[in-house]
Amino acid sequence: MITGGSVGYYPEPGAVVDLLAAGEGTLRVLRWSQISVVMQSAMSALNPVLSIGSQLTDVLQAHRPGLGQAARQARAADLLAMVGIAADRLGSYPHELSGGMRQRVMIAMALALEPQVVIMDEPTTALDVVTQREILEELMQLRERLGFAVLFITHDLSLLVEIADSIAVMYAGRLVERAAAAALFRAPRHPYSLGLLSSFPALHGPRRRLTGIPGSPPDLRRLPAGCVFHPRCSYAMDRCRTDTPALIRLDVPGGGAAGGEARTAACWLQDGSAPAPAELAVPAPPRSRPPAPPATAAPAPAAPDLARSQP
Amino acid sequence: MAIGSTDLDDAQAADLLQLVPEAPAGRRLRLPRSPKVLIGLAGLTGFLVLAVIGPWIAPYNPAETFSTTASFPQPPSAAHLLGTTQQQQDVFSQLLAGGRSTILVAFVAGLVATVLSVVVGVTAGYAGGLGDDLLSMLANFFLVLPALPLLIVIFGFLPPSQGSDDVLIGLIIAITGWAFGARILRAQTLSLRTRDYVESARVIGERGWRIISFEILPNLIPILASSFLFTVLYGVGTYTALAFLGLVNPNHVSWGGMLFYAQVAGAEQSGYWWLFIPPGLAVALLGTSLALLNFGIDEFINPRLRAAGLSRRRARRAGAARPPRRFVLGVTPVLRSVPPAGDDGRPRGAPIRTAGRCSRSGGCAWTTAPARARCTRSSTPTWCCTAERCSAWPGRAAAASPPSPTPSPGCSGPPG
Amino acid sequence: MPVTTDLARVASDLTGAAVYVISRRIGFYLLTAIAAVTVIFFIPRVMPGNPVSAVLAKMQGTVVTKQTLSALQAEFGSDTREGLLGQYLHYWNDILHGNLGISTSNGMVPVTTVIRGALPWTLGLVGTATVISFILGTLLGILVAWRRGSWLDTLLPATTFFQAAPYFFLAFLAIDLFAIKLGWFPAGSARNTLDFPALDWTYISDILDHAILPALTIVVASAAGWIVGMRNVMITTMDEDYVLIAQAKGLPKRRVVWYAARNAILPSISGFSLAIGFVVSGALLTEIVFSYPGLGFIMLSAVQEADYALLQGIFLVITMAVLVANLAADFVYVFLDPRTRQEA
Repeated sequence: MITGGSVGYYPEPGAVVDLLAAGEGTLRVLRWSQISVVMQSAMSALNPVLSIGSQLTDVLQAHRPGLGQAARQARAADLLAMVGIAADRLGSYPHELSGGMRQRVMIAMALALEPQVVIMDEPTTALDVVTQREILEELMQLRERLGFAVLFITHDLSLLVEIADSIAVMYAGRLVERAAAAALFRAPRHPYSLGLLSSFPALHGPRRRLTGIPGSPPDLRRLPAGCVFHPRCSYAMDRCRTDTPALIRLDVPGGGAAGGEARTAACWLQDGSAPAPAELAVPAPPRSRPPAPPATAAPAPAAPDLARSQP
Repeated sequence: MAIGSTDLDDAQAADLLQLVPEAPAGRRLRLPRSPKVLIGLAGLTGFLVLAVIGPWIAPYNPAETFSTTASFPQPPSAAHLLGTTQQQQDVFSQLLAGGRSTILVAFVAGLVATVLSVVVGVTAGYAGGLGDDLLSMLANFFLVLPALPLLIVIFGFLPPSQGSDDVLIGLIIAITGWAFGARILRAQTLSLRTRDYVESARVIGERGWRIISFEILPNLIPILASSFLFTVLYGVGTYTALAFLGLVNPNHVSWGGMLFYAQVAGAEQSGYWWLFIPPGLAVALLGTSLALLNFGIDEFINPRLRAAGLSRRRARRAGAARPPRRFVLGVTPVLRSVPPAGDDGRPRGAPIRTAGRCSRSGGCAWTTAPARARCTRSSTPTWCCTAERCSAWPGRAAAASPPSPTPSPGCSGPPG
Repeated sequence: MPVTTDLARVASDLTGAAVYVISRRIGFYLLTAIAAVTVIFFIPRVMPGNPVSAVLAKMQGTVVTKQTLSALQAEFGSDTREGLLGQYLHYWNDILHGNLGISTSNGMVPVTTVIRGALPWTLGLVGTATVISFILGTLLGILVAWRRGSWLDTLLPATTFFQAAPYFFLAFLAIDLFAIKLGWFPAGSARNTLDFPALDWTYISDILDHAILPALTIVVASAAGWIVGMRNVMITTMDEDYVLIAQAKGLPKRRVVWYAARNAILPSISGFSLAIGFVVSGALLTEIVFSYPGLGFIMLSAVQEADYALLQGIFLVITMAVLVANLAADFVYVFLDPRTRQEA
């Protein structure tokens, strides 16, 4: 249950909609045509008693009343072709498709109205690695083609480093760090991110002792006082046990996320009062892509990809 | 771009969510405390007490006749609180005494049927294969067979002397009522069987009956309780029906028997309401208590069935100024104590008309006078920009807030 | 709603694996029918006491011919000329030829005649009332689940009362209230027996007039069960991901509810198969209270007159009817759930 705060959707620079305060009418128009969702388990996200064709066309019926039946069917066939499924499967039921195909159908469904933002909640976790790779490739191609932003939720940090522009790390339901992917990978600023990165070995580079994060995730009903991570943190100070750190902006030159967003970390080590430990103060790598053009010139830049990693 | 809102503080949120401190470790059977369960429990306890002490506290002997001259039932009076039957017997005493046999038969039926359903259902679910198929077929057969007609046939052929033995009646009723619970228990056992702790017990080499008794049965207790209550309910209804039809020895006083005599006396045609309303009501109330209790147990088994998480009473107690948005299918409820206001005092997010004009448009155009933002039409939705913030309400007058000298990005700015 | 593509799919499906599924069910029902007949055959023979003498005792005052006596003996097994298996086969032979015995309480007419006279009344009343109750209860259940947290939830405990009250008690109340006190409807029987049956409006309206109260009783008593059942299933279904996705797609609310209900109806239909036995029992009792000349009514008189042949015959007919209803429900289930059309 949500009791406060706001969720801002920025359809274009200068405009914002508070989704929590929006009325039913606004939400109904926004849903799927601007923001869509791909869930983890396609088997439970697809209605088992309806054919996938009807599940693809029902959004078209609801949001594009001008389209006729034939046009809808054609568009549904196009969508399937876009994700690599033959059009004659339009009449199939979800239980007749394989897991990978179902996930593809979900992606096609999510892109039916060409939304601006697609939220993907662990879309490939339930699949085998080969299918995972295929689907992610297709996803990246579609992203290039249609130009939508992806909010990718996963626990696979190595995957994120590969595909994401910007990564936000969450711990115990809170945001603890946010940075460009390369910057996070090379130069983490929060001890939890550091722990995550140290938990899987690199394929190259100098040999390093593999450490994990001691302890186990906290019980969300009884979170520790102060910083939620402090019981497992090897850099914990006295202050960490009592004061909860807010997201501190780290104005590191060249280390900001793409699109001009600031790099942030929720850690008292980064508040500037004392130099941070060496592992958490590695200089961030220079940004590999050119800075985004100013908003007033030419067409608006592609919305930045945002990815999230959680324990 | 700050969006103001008034948030509930943590204490109010916690109260709403009813975050209870964790119960101490160990398996404690937490009984649900909803009013349904309490009423049902109270009712059932009352009836159980009545079953025991009923015949003792009855003012008269239920079979005693009071007059040989009157030939039709007497209405309630001071001497006879609920009047008399056609045979001039006191209805109130009969009512008190009649509960005993009904409850006894129903509980015997419930007990035997539950035992049978456990034996068949759990064995079928655990054993699998041919045994499962055979037992399932047996259960399905008894399920499909219409119970009351079968019982009518059985009791029709039964000599009258046997028809007053409550335990025997209960046994026969149990034979028709065990199949429903068996099916449910089988389904549950099937799902429990694949759980890790059962699998590991099998791998260790624990014997089947031990696994069933110690791993599976404890998890079936809520369903067993629900099934037991349901079967008792079924037993009450069936026994009353059989007594009403005169199939069990009519000399045995029971609520169903009272209804039988009411029918014989033509009670409903002649308006002798005291003959059929008290026993019928008693059966109905007993059944309602059982059903309510069952309801409560169902909610315990499946927490989703509890009244939707945020009732208005609780929200108001927690200080929410306006009632929370009604429970919407599948969507996380959003609760705020004060709705955030838009620039012009209108609540943010008032619905936007979509079809036709004033749908979202591609840009904002300032007009000369009066200064107001106007939507233009295009295919992708956007918002009109006014002052320094964009609201979601197009077409409203921007005169309330002074137009800023530099238009926010996306707005083409005031002309001139 | 693209029903047409789905219908085409269903049509092609039903000629395939679905036939296999349905034939399995038919096989089960045939087995059940055989077992039911066997049970009916054995009951009078395993019960303590001698059914023949019981029948004769009830028939005191009428002349018993030798044929009647030998017929009774053959019927109930006192005739020891044939062995048990022989009697069993003989019984099957009779049934398959439509001979259910002689009704001793109705003037020695064949049982089939008596049943044929009563069956239409029962089918008409119980059949329509059950279907109405199912539809009404299901729709109300969906409504209560959809509008959760509203005042409708307070109706639920009331429905438990109606669920728990015996059918005949509600029948009593209905008669007392509507027929005696208010005088809106007649208090019993199916028609005014003085009228000559003819296919004109007065006759039909008379029938309807007499049928409303019993039908109302059956609907009120049984709808509560469907309401609560459907509500519970809907609430569980509404938690599923595909309902959340339907909501997230921005579909109109009616469509979202339809998606959920379409799935929730499946357990309801299998519940219908289970409950139909209960509903039929309750309906028979209602008939008795209303003196409605259906199967229930003549079943009771059969018991009271120790007319065992009629009793057995009625039980057989009722069982067959329930089996047929179950088969129909299975058909509907396979039609609605595409997952059952595939046999893994």
